[in-house]
Amino acid sequence: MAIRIRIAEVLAQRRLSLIELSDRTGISVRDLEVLRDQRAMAVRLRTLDCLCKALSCQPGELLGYEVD
Amino acid sequence: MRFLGPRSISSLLKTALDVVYYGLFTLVAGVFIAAVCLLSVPNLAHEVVRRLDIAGNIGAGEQALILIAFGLSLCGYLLITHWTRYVFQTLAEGDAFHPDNTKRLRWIGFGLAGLEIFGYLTRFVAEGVFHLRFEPIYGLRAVTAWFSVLVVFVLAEVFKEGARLRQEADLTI
Repeated sequence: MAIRIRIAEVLAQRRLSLIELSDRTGISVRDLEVLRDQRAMAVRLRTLDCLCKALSCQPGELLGYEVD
Repeated sequence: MRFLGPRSISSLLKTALDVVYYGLFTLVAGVFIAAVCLLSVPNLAHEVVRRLDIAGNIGAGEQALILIAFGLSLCGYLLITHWTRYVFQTLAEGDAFHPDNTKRLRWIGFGLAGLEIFGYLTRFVAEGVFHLRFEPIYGLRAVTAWFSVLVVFVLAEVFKEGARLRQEADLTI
């Protein structure tokens, strides 16, 4: 899939770990790993809302389109 | 009573299938031992013909061949039971759309089709070579087996779609 979830990059910019993000959002570490490893097939708007709130960013910063 | 999960009808059927599987296993072993006995024990074939009151004279080799054909068809049923047991095991665990169930159901379909073709072939050979007579199969009975094969293949596709939807649900965050 050409849609990339840039969670690793955003976390690195903010010097945060997955565990800290999990604590802030309430999303399990396992689910965050699925997002980070680009294995997710769909992302709920509710999840995106939590991530944007916790990371103080726009959805566009978390998602990108990269042609394979 | 529940249909899926532990202590449900599925687990009861799984236990019943286990009994059938091991019973069939014993029967297959018995049939092959009987075939070997027919070939190795003198006068046994003659005794079988006399006891069963068969009109024609069927020799030990032919009798062993019939038994081996019967044993092979039982092996087909054994394999079908084996795959069905695994399907019911996943149902008894409450995991209906297990990804492997699609593959298992397809094999069950191929097994049923193979058994039906094997049945036609053995009938053809038995009637042609050994001059045995079988009751002819007409009408609905003739197509029921093929309909069941098609139903199993359709079920396999249903399970494939179910497994895909489950995977999608698992990977929706």
